[in-house]
Amino acid sequence: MDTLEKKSHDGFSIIELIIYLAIFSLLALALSSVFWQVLQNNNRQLAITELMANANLISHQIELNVKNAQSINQPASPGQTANQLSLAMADSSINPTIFNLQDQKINLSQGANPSQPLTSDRIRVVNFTTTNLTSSATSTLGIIKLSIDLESNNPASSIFRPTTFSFTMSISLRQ
Amino acid sequence: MPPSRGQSLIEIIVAMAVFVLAISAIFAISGSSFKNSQKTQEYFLAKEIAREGVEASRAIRDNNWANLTNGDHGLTINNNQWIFQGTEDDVSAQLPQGKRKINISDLGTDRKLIVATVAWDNGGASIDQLQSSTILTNWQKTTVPPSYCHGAARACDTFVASPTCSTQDGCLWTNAFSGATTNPGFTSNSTGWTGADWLWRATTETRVATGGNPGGFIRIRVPKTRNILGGGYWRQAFTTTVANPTATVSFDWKNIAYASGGTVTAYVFVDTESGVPIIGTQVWSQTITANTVWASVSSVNVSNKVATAGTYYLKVAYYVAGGSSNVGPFTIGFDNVQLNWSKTGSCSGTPTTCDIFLTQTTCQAQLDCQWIP
Repeated sequence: MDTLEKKSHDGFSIIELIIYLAIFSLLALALSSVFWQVLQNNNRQLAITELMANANLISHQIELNVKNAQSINQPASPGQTANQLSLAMADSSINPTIFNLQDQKINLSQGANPSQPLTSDRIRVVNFTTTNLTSSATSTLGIIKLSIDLESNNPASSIFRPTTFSFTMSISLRQ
Repeated sequence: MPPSRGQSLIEIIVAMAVFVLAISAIFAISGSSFKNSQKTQEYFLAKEIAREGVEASRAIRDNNWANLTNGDHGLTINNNQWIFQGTEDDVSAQLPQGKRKINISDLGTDRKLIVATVAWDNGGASIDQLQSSTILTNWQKTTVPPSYCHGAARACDTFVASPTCSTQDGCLWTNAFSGATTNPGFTSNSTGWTGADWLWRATTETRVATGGNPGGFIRIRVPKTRNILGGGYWRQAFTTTVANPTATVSFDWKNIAYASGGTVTAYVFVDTESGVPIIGTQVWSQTITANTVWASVSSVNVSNKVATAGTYYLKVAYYVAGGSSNVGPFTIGFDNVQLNWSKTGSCSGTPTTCDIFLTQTTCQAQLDCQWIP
């Protein structure tokens, strides 16, 4: 009788085991879901950081070159739209300076130098549109509006949502 | 042995609370990082939009400084050019409820402060805002240096307007001249006028004190007789001092006595000689067949008679051909007889190096001047 009583107090009953398992699996599920979220968010943040870094670089490079340009070659006339920005520069070694879209990257070529990609391998440039908004009254001074759409280059099989960033900028010539 | 060796309900609740706290901390960190990243993107976009505002203002300035009017403006592209429109523009395509406003204010003459403000809803309680500014100057303004002339002024007359002085500099200014015969009204005498017979000695030329138009007038009277052939005339000498002036004659006339049987004509001449007029060279004539009242003839153009500068004679004349029987008398009166001539100034000569033209209403101050660039 004593032995029987003691034995019944020693182990788990099947009900207890089931309850423990249920609680444990619920906790594990919640925990893994949280970690999944954090991981996904982290990945997204990384993608956005990369997009922003590239957007900043494009913006600065275009600003720098347009401010030093003498005139706009492409898009040639007011109102015209192009997928590149070609600038006439005073310095013959960097004339012309061309930003264009090639292999989903913005490439910068200056003079006879081979063209260099500005954007990293980890992002895709899906749109690079330039519009010449120069007033015809002042043909020597130009203003350019650019529309740029960037996309994070996640592999197609990635379970993470691809991240995009679009922006427009305008910059006018200074000389 | 104590009866409760396992976990109590309290312990489980505490453990779960700790667990939940830990999880929510992780969520909070993750969420704030997400929010920060969104803010970074929004500020990047806002920075580009604000800069676009400044750059577009610059393009508008380059197009026309006058378009930079003080106050708040929105931007839009019209006809492939940036223009101001309204007091702000909508940039909600890029920023949630985003608005862009360009404020322009004066910073002294030909300098303006441009402030582009981009404001948007950040999803929180406040509104995010970013400003970009620049100072624009009216670099295309051209100031005309004050030009002036010096030199001794010479007798000078009407100024010929011309948009540049290149056609005027080095020119010889011609005086504007004018003149007229005197004593047109014969009010108190006939001074300046001389009466003379025209091939008919019986003619009398007298000034009459009353009955003119009004007051005094001059009269030519051919008395009644036979075989009348001639009359009389009044003349006054005048001198023109310039070639080809515009000259006109005005006068009043009245035939006072007429008799049928005579062929009567009134004439006006402008001659180079003082002697009797020659029929056919008149500037005006009128065949008279009855008595008349005072009639005015104004501004008969006699310019072709005074082509060169010199002395001329204005003559008003009366001529009768009477035939073999006794007819007459024949009498005419003239009043308010005057010839006016004038010429506006002009310039001639070879233009020389010349500069900005100073507007002047007369050439008095410009004549003999040397133009300074």
